Amino acid sequence: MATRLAVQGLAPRKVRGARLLPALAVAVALVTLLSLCIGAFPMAPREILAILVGAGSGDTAEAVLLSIRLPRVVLGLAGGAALAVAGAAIQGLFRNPLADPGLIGVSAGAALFAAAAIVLLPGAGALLGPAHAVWLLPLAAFAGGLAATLLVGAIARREGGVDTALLLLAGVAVNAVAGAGVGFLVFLSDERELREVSFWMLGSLAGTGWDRLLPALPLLLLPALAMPFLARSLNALLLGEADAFHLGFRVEPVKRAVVLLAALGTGATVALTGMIGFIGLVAPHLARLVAGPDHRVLLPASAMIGAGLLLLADLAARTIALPAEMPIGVLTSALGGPFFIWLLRRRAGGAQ
Amino acid sequence: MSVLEGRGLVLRRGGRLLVDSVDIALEPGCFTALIGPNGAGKSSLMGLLSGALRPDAGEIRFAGRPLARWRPDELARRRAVLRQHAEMGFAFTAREVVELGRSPHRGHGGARPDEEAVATAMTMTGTAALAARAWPTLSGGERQRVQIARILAQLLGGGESLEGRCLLLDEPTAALDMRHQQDLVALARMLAARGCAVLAILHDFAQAARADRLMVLEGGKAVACGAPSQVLDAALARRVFGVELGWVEAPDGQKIPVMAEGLAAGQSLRIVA
Repeated sequence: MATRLAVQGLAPRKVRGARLLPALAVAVALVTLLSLCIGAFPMAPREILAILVGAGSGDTAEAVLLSIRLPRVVLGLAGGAALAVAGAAIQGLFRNPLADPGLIGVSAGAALFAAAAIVLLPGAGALLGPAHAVWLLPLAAFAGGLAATLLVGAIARREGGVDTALLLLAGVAVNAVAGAGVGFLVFLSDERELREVSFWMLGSLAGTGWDRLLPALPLLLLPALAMPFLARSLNALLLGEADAFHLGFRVEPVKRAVVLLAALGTGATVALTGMIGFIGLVAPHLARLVAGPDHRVLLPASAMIGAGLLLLADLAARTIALPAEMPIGVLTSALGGPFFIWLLRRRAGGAQ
Repeated sequence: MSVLEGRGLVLRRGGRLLVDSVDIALEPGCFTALIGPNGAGKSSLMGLLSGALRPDAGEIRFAGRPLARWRPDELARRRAVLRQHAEMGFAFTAREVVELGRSPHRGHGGARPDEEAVATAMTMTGTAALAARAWPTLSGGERQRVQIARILAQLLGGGESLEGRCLLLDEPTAALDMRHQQDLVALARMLAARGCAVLAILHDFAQAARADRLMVLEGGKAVACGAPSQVLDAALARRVFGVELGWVEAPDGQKIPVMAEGLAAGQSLRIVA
């Protein structure tokens, strides 16, 4: 233990970040290429690169890659990064490594509002026209995620900060209420709506074309791109809100920005993919293991690890049960749950 | 001019007066100790002076300007605050925690004063050997010293003189052993000698007597204020703290107050060794 700590001290985190982040970027690029190659219609990396630079032959391969596989992979990358960055930032803000957007009810809130949009506003899409209808679900999910975040934040609020035990319990309550709400909507829905709502609950990257992905892409990317600018503030907030203020940080605007960005990333992801659990919890944990707790390195590292994890999970979801496809939310929860327990045990037996 | 000045400060919480019309002025180069029994309002007063709490009545000025009109980062470059409970989420190393103290100075003076201030602060607090240790592996006292180093790093780095700077310490000795308590009081005196205005909540009479000024709080009111030799006497100790106080004299002539159970009025302590 002592030697490991001494070695950590010898390699300052800035240096580690400078080596780690490019390495992670290369790893994500490899996973991306792998995801593009593997599938019901296998392709060679050379073929893919040719199509991507515009030198394709215009055959089936090009159609499969550009209109099916590429949007799916882009969604996996952007969604994974958004969920992971939201998780890392919320954990930092609440000073609690267990504060995953899924656990505290953000995803459930997003799913409830999205389900409400599907079931209660069936005519809205037709009224708005297809050009505006694509915005309806992402916006509803974002509003739901934001509402859930503000609600648990308000319930768990104590003078001087957010009480973490109350936060997790509030999350349990919000999850339960949102679950009941979704159940009620299922009860109200017809068969087509029921299928759509079930899709939300299980989560999947399948069937997302450019038409739905492109409008939501800025919302997905914004948190991952903007959150690193709050890294120093998040570091200071780990000392507690009062100490962050005494160090000259404007605590309230930072908290609002973190909550908004996290709700935005989670909501927009849930709008397109449905409920995908544990990425927001597992990716930041893995990132902390390799990058340490400094948010300046942790946030970009989490983004890349989250992107890679979700792509790998999707790769598994669409290959392990061929020709059928497993819902990815089932897979991430089935793997993420035990991993989470392992982390808890490790923490309990570790540094303390 | 006072560095930090509060006039007619009032703080109410749930119908109770925690701070009741307190006037306080922290002068450059002056180390003020704030003492009082539990629940006297010491931490509440500290919270008001640091800007963490807003007074229900009264006014606080830093360098003549109302505290609320200071930008947080502007203020943080001039005054540092140590809170009662040192906390740190996640496994930052001791050095990284101390480096956070330089946050308000980013973009003001480059990296060299940053590194010097961090190194000096860790040397002054004896935490240099802890630099690479992760926060969760530190003991309570070690954490307190690392937080003190962070506060120092925030305060130092702008040359020898600390004129115009202010240090607020809420029970800085709470988690420390005897040696480090003594070191901390010496540190506060040294910073004051360099021009810093220092306010510290202390619980030990002998330590409080080392301050330049002493303010005694009771029930939210300032019941005494002045030089320790004038303020601190047996009557005050009995009335405010409910303890008996005697004195011993050090070789340098300094009178050291000692709490003495069972000491009756008119009796004095006898040196036995």
